[in-house]
Amino acid sequence: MKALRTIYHIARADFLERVRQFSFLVILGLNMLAAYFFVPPSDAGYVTLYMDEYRGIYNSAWVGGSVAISTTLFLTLFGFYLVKSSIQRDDRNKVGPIIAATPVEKLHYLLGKACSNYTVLFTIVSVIMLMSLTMQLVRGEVMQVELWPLLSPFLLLTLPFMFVVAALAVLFESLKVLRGMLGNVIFFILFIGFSSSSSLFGFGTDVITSDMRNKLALLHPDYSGDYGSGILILDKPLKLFEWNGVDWTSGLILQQLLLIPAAFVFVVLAALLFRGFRGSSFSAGSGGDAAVKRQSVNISDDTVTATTTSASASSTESERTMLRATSLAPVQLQNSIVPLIRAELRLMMKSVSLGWFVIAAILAVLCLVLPFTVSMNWIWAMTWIWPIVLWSEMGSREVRFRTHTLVASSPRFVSRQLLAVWIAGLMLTGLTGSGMLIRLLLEGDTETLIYWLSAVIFIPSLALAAGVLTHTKRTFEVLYMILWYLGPFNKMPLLNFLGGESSSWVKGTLYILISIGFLLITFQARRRLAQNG
Amino acid sequence: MRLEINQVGKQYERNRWALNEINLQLVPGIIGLLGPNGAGKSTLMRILATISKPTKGTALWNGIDIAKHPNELRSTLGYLPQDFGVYPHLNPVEFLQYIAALKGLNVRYMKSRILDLLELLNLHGAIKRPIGSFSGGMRQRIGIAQALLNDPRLLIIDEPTVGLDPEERIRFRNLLTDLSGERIIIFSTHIVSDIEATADQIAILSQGNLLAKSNPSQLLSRMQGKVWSVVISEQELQDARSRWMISGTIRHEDGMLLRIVSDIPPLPHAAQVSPSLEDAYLYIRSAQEEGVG
Repeated sequence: MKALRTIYHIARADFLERVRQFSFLVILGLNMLAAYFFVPPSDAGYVTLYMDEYRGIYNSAWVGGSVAISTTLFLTLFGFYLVKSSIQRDDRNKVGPIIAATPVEKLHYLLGKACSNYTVLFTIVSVIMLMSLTMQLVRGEVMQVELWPLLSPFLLLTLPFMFVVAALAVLFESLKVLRGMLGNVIFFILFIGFSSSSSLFGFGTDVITSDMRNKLALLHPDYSGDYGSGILILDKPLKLFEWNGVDWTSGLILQQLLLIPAAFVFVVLAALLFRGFRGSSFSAGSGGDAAVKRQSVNISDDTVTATTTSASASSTESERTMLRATSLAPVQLQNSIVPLIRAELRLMMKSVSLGWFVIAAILAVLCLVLPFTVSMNWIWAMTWIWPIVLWSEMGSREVRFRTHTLVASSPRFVSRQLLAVWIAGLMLTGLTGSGMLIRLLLEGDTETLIYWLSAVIFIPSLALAAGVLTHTKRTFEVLYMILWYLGPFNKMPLLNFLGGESSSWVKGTLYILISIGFLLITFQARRRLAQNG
Repeated sequence: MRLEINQVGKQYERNRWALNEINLQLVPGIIGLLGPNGAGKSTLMRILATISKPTKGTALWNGIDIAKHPNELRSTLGYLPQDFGVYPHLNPVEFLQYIAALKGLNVRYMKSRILDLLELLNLHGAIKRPIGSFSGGMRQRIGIAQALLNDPRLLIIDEPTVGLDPEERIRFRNLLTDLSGERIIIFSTHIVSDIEATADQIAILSQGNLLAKSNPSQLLSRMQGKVWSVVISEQELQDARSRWMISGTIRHEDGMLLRIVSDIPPLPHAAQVSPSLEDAYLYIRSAQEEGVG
């Protein structure tokens, strides 16, 4: 009972801390918007779920099923990045050492965090459930609302999956090696692997899609069995068929609910691997500060003498200090921004180990030596996902490390420092993509070369804007991974910043214009912040 | 060189002024801002460091409004905030080079000054260590070093001695004294002895108001005849606390030796003693509280 109370209070505090931030409202709003797009009108030119040349009529079952599938895919990726911060937050807020000094067990602590993660995801899914009901009525193909067919896919597919996502987030946070961007990239690869092979397991979203396909095959024996989910562009309108939902047998329900104990196992594993906060860099060296802050009250005239004596005792030291203080090397001003760009680049690079550079170099070389299609489709993506840890710090580093007051008191910091950060980001993007650049030049592929160039400008601009506007590196990390998923991987035309149907000149120019827009917003936001103090 | 603070006020919330019509005229020398937590010291310093803008009033650096033209001051400003961070992966030299680049200094030329500063602040033994491994006191000294990088004409340091051990504090006080001369140094603290040892002007702030601005000797002379020493029994201590303003107690073999700030002798056998700045500070603060009450 005591353990449950502990878990409850850990989860409650963490959940409240998250939802009382404005950004949580924004996230809910974005998810409502996503739910809106998950049920496109018949003339939208895209669908989120299709079966060859068919889609289901928008009755409760189809809306519930298709939105639940999209939500499951979307929240498995986005939700993981969203909630994977609960332990780090305690570290960042310096609560970690306090927790470390309490008798709370690691398993209870991590279960509390997993519960908080789950509650956040549950809240989002609940909002999307309401939105799907609304969307069925908005689209109006079938006006009769049937609650069980509408909600059961969320209750038995999405929500059990969210248990696993919440637990995996805790597991990744518990392991130092997976806590940072490497963990994010590994999860992304796992996600791509899982989502593209769901049908092989007969598990996950396939629980619903297989039922839909079976029903369609019964109605239309000519159905090829092809289907797709995600954001899918149509070249012709789809035919409609009626699907009335999954028959949730007890065996099927049990299979879905097995995800909950699986999630629990992940948390237990996390508890075994979690080393606690005792080794935290945040707790080091802070213990003595408070003691020095206190000052005893002088009681008698003798104390003044004692102070004087103390000062005299260090007179040799004082003389040495005086000599040094008056003979410091003089200062020379320099108007060039180049040293600041160099300093920002060095600062950026210092946050990663030598291993990071080795892998970045290997990826660049692979772009040169592997078959062109392999380089284009796979290695190029990896070269520009790998530096995400460095880009994501742009614009938010000053807040994260609390150096903003030092930066803000330097001359012309808005224009000089932001420009230097952006140029450093540009150089990083160019350097990491240099292997692909040389390959494109060798292949004479000017079309793709334009995409390369526009991406070199676009990526650091997006990173800087996200960092300055939201003061956190997570925004860029989440946005960038979603952009990759929807754009280059799912080939959604407008979001595919590395290619597509339209002319490269048009799209390249568009992305450069968007980048300029980001930069203008960024500079304006920083300027406003400076003006408002 | 002159810093004029005219009617400066800062309002964070409706009906709550963190600073209220502060007037100060500063010339080269060291001015110590003294006051309890929440007195408005950091708010005033943030305004003077161009991080924050006043809600009303002006701060003029050599006649130029620093809220309108902050860069005029920033190039010659050294600022140590009360709460600041560092980049933990950089070593002290790299961090100071970064700050030098931000301040528009010639980074290559600065190397010897950076090494001098690190030696001056007793950090020369740790120049290759990442700052993330530093103790609180060492980080504080890095903060002091960055404030001195550009040989500032205006040096603003907010609670600089927090986290320093006694020896480092004395070293810092000496450094501050040496640095005074052709520059204005403003430092805040709630530790009276820091001010006592260094400042040639003292400004006492409380609840956003400037209670007094004076030099230490004037403050002390104002307190002459108002500080008393008396021995009482331990049982009388509680009663004494409620009756008088006690600036210090020492357990004595005859009872408790009290240091009392009072316009009149607290007890017939009380002996007059020389006042300290701490006595003056308590006296002024208590006078304000009585005024408010």
